[in-house]
Amino acid sequence: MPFIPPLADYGDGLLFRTQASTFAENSDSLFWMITWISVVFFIIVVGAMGWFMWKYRHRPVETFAPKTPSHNLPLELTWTVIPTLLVIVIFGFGFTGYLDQRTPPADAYEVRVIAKKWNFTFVYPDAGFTDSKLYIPVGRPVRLRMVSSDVLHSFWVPAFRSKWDIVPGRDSIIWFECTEPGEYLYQCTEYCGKDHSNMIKEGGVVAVPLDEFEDKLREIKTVKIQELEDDPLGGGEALFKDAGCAACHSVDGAKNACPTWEGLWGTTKKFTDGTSAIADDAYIRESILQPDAKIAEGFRNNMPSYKGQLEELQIMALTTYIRSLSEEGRAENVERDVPPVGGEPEAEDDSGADG
Amino acid sequence: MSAAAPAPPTGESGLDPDRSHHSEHGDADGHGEHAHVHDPHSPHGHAHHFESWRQQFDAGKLGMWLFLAQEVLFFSGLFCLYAVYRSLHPEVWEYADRFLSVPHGAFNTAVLLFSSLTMAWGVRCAMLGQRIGLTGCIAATLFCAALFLGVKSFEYTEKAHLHILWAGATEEPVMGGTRYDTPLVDVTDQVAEAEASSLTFAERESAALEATDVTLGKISVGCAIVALVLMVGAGLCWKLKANGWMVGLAAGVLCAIGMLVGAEGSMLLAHEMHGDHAGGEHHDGEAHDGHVETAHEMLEAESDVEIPPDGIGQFFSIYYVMTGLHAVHILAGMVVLTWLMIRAYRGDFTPDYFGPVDFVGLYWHLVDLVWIYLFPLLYLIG
Amino acid sequence: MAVETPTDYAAGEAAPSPERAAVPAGPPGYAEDNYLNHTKGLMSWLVTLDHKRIGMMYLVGVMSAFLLGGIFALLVRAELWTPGETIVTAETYNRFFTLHGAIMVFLFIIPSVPAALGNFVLPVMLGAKDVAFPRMNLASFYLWCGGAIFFLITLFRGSLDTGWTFYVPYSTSTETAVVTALTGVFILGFSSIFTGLNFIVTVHTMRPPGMEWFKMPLFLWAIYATSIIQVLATPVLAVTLLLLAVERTTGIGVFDPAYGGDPVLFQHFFWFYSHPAVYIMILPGFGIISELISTFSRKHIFGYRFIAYSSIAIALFGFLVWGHHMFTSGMSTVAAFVFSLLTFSVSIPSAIKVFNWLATMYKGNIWLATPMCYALSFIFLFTIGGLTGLHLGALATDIHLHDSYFVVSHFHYVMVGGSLVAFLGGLFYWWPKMTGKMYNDFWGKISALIVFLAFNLTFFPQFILGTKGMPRRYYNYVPEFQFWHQVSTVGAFMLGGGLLVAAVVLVHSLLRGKKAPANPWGAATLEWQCSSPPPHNNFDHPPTVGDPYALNRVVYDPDTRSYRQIDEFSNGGTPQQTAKV
Repeated sequence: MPFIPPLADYGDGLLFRTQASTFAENSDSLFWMITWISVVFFIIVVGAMGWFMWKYRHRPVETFAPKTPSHNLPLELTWTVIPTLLVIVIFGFGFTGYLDQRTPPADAYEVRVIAKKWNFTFVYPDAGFTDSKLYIPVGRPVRLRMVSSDVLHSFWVPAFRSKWDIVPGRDSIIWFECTEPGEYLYQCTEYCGKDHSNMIKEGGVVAVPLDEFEDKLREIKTVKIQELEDDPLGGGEALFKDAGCAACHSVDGAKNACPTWEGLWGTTKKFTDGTSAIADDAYIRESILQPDAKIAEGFRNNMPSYKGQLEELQIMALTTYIRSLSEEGRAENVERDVPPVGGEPEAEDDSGADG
Repeated sequence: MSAAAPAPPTGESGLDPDRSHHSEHGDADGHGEHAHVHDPHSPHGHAHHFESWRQQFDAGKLGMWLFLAQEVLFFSGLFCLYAVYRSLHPEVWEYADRFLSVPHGAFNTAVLLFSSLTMAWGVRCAMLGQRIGLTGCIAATLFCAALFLGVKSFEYTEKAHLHILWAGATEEPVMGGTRYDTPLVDVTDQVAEAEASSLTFAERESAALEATDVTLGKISVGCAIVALVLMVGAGLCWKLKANGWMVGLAAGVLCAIGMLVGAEGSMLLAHEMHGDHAGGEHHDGEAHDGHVETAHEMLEAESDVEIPPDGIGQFFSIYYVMTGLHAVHILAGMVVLTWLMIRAYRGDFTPDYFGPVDFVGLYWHLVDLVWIYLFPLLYLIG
Repeated sequence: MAVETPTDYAAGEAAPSPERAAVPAGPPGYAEDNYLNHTKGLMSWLVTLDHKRIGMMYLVGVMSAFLLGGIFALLVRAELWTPGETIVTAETYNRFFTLHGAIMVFLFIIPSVPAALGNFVLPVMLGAKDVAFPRMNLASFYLWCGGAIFFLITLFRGSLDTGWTFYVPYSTSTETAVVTALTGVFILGFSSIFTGLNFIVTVHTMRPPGMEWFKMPLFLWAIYATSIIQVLATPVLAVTLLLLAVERTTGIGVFDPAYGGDPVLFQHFFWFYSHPAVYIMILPGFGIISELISTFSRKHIFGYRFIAYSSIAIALFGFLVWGHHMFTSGMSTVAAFVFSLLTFSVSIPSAIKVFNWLATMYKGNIWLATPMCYALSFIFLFTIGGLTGLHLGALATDIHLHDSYFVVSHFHYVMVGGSLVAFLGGLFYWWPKMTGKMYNDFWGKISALIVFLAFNLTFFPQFILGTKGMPRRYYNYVPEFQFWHQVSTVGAFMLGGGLLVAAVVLVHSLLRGKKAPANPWGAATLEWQCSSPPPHNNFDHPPTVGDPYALNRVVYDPDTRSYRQIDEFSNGGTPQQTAKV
């Protein structure tokens, strides 16, 4: 077909990223088809305009143009009907492509996505871990079941030509089938506030060949647990960013939407209902799983529960990290023999995932 | 907004027969005066930029219809909202509907229908040049509007005492991070208290009714005082021959009395209903056959113990928004009616010039029409 | 009056002979009483009911709003010079693009052509003395001022960072002054409704004898179609914003998911207005271009009825396509099908207009004066803007392109390359009529050229950024995009420079410009029959209404340096002969 020469170049082209999903070719072909139709029309319109500008340029009034017809029904109908037919064709291709993208196959591998300001968390229910990277098998449809815990977000993988909004209060579904192993960029495309432009991860989508996929997930899980055990401090710090704690909590005493973690552990917290308690491990665990149980004085109840999102080991790591931010906590950490950041020397190169 | 629109179409320039349209001195707005093109057959000078009085009337009428089209679209947004949430949560609508008092709504519907009649009659009076008849009709319309608001104020007050409010005032947000601030009215504790207490709904209702009685009593006293003061003022103005002011103040008296009568009347009606309600149940049982009685009792029992479905706040959000915006339109209409009444009494309108009466009439009919839809949608179909 | 202007011909009065018309007698028209010197003093302007003065006040208003919005645009582009922080933080950047969008849409583009140019031109073009409701017209202007004041208050009360679309639930959770801004937009909405209502009634009831519907200039058809949208769509925006304000302050739970509301419902409500609003912005531009192309090609417009009907068709179809802003928001497949199909259907009337303009130029006598340069630039830019709309209307490609820079570029091609350029064309076209002064045509053309080149430099790279994967409203971006961003930023500053040149040309004309003749361009519509600037009352007698595009009846008169109309009744000779007299 004459309109697809740019597709011959399969690399990172002038206009598009390398195609990496089953939709991409379809979407790009349609794009180029429309583009070439547009170019033809553009040349007709602007070419005619330029030609007329030159050919009929201003002459003295005395050589006034002869009277030309001021309407011509067949001509009018021609340029009404031809574009109409063309756009119907474009519409047809567009709609069939859209139907493909909106009908996930039944056997798709499902990953859950939790979007919040300002990160995506991918929950692998089968594998039982969460990560800020999306691991997908090549050649098997993947379905993302996405929820938002605050405002609107939108999940876009440009290499897959695939995008869908994540609407709070609804389950948003998107699916795609990756064709090339590799690492791709994902990003948020629905404006969501201050760090909207940081909801982007280069290499955030990792496509693994289908036969290696299970192993890959197991491997990641093992690594994650190992990391947390070896380096609860570093793991906790990474979780602080990856799980979205950093959106509301600070670790330097700055007052954000939620209490700062600096000097939190071991102090006595006052709550809105008038009671108070010492911020110990149990309190922190409860605050993570059941944030509305006790609300710190001066703050609103605006934290979502992390129940089911964080593993016990991860909560422990976070607690360790929070401990390291106060005097009492550091003493406690020393007492409990927590390894320093970076963990044991042998685990060093794996630590601080995604840092 | 609404008040502004009916006014401009014809404007004042066409009102005073004795005002010179040929004056040579410069007008402040640099616009009003022109020494040319007048229709000598026009008894009142039309605005300078129109060719004839007829053209001016047509323009005003078309403008008013467009304004009404705009109003219809304004309300259509709310009706869409209603349709969407009703189809999403039919169970909520079936449940929540019982908290709205049909007799009060029906009374208000009758009042507004009657006011439409008086308004239409007023337009006819204006066409026939009956000054006193026109003034009287507008006064009656104004009184009906006030009556309507009086009943509405009872309904709002009673619901407030029952803690039946919009979603944000009665429910905790289910999601953190999507509210920038706490709701304006936070009655969560009161609601929890009411829910925890052992009172049945009927008992709470009668308690709320008593509280409403107190609140409305204060409002009524306030209305009465306002009415008295305005009446004295109107008398003074009459003495001073300031007829415009007098009619304006008289309109205020009408409004205050209308509010008072509406509020107190609906209070009486509520007591009546409540009393009948408690005593009449057994009576009903004897009168009807067993099947109906059981269903009736079940419903009664249900309303006391049934746990409200989720999202009931939304019903009342929509109820308050729709009736509230309608009430704002009634209020705007009352302002315009007062203005119209002053002009009518002054004798501005003649069989040749009655555009403003006609246009305000159209607006008033639209406001009625909106209520004609609101009443069944909110009160009747559950 | 001895003034030799066509306004002197009363309806039915014996037509002056060509000889008499050719000999200028008495002082030129501008020395006479006109709307500018009819009354004096500030108050005479502030409480004026004259549509021409209200139009001028609107012009000053929207141009200051444009300046403010433009400054924000340049700040946005400057920030994007490098990834990450260049001049401001992310929070400030979000405020910048929000204010740029909101000010440009609500304070500038929507009122620009209808309220500023339309107010001035519509009654004169129609042959009426004023709009139907002058008081409402003035009220509309002051409502606009009220809305603008609320925007200024917003600026100083924590600003606004929701994006001009106010999407829920971000707009119910951000801490910026959302309610103040909503109030401003609400008020501006009523300003817009009043203007539209006034124009519809004016067109219906104020036409002088002989001005039949199909003798109306196409600009009036366009404004009429625009007014229908303004009256019917704006109230829906008003109620939506009202609900949003109530939602934010009290939590009524209709839009906010925290109380079970549906954010997508808000989007439906919002775009039900805001998509037709796109046509409020572009339709008057089409009208201007129809006038310009015909006048400067010295030829009758081609396919008058098709252009007129296409305006109405766009206005009506425009109400049915709002869903194409939400293809990825989670609507049903059926809804997507319908909205996409209707979206394509609305592209046809626009295409018809473009072809008709080209056919008008065919065998014309094309005079490249400044307004025509803007008009041709409009055709070029709008064609790109329109054609890229096809990519976005097609569902499969829209999924990839939605909310990317491709969209940003597309709508700037339509809104800036279309509406703004048409507005400037119209401004340069009617400027002599409005102010009575001629500007420097050479520098006017230079400004058109700079605007055209700089615009393409700014926005064409954004198509490439969009397909490559640059999302809109991003403060930060991956380094590979930096080249195109910098090209775009350079273009934006050049565009600012081009607009500055245009401003200087116009302001200079006020100070040093030659006095403008009644009909400097040789147009056949009625506004050129009265003197420049028009007298206070537009027409002392109902004007003679003919075919608005009978340009062969308008001939140049070297003595008055103006064009004049050969009377229809004289039939004395061909245009060529008359011109040689």
